[in-house]
Amino acid sequence: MIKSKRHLTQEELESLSHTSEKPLGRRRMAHVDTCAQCSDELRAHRLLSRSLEGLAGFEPARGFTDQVMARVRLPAPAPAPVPVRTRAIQTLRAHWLVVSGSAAGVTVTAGVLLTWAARFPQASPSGLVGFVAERTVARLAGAALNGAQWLYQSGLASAFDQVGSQVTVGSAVAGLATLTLMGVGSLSVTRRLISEPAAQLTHAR
Amino acid sequence: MTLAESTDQDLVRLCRNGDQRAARELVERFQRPVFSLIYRMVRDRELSEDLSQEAFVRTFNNLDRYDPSYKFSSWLFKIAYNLTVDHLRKKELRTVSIHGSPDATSSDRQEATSFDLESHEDLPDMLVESLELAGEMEDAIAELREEYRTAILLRHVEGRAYEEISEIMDIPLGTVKTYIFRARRELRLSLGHLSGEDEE
Repeated sequence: MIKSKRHLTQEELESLSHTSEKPLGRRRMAHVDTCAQCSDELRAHRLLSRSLEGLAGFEPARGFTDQVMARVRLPAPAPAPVPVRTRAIQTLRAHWLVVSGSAAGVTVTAGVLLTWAARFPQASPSGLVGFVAERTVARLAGAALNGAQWLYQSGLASAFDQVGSQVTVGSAVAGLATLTLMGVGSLSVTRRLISEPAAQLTHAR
Repeated sequence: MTLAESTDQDLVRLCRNGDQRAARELVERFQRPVFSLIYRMVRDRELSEDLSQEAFVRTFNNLDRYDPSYKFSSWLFKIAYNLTVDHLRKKELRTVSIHGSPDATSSDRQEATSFDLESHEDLPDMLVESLELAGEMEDAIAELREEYRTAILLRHVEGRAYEEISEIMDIPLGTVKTYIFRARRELRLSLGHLSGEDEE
């Protein structure tokens, strides 16, 4: 084997003296075996490295971890992932809420409008309420009209006569506004119910 | 897999999801090397604990800034190193002795800044010799320049690679090698009598 004549560099010596480093090539090691200067240098380097590596570590006082943890502010824990089955139930429930809420809203609105239309058959209502009552709902819901007429005949509507037509119209408008608000509110709640489980699943992923 | 078996990166991921137990595991895993490094830099147990604590708190409270492509320990050591260097520069505690900081103004302070080595009483001769060697070594390290001291401690006591030391100290790789070479040369000069070498 041809051995290297060049002495080891400081980097090579440092590398050789460090236990975790890979050894040098065979030619360089052959040089160390025959060169007294490099051999002495390497021995001194190894002694120093061993002494340094053998130094004991220092321990902080007891309770150090607790003190650190008392000051650490980690992000809020992520919500637990919603199981697929639970999400399906929530979605189904939300759909039912939409359907039943809408049906209830339509029924009540139609009832009020029909009552009003039946009570004032000769009236020429203006605006959207009048239009819906007169042109759409009143014509399509014959059964509801019968119900409204029954209400009128049963004496409930006679109470309106006592109060006066102005008050009746005002009540109908107020009732419609309330129903509209309820409809908007229930739609908003329904949308949240549908969207939240999906968002939770996305976050958990 | 238990937390103790988890890798640093797995624990960091858990910490980012708010897992306190994972953070605790990381503190317990690194408190000794971080504290040892800082203690060898400032030589004051109380101060070292404050700085170590601050290093961990900053590390965890800024986890969103941590780049997982780097080793967590390198990031932690970098924060610890920067904190310690900032402190040393403010206080101008550049060289300290195993027997206490030269800035100590009272005997209490001298004691507080000296190394807490075991008593030599009732110990076998070999162990006493070993402790004396360790004491001389600690003293020699304490005499090194702050940059040399950090580089040699990270390299030989903590077993960090050159590249990691370069990241931690935020200096070029060549400078790391130079610091380590100079630190070793100075240590050999200081400890020459122990290895039977003559001083250069």
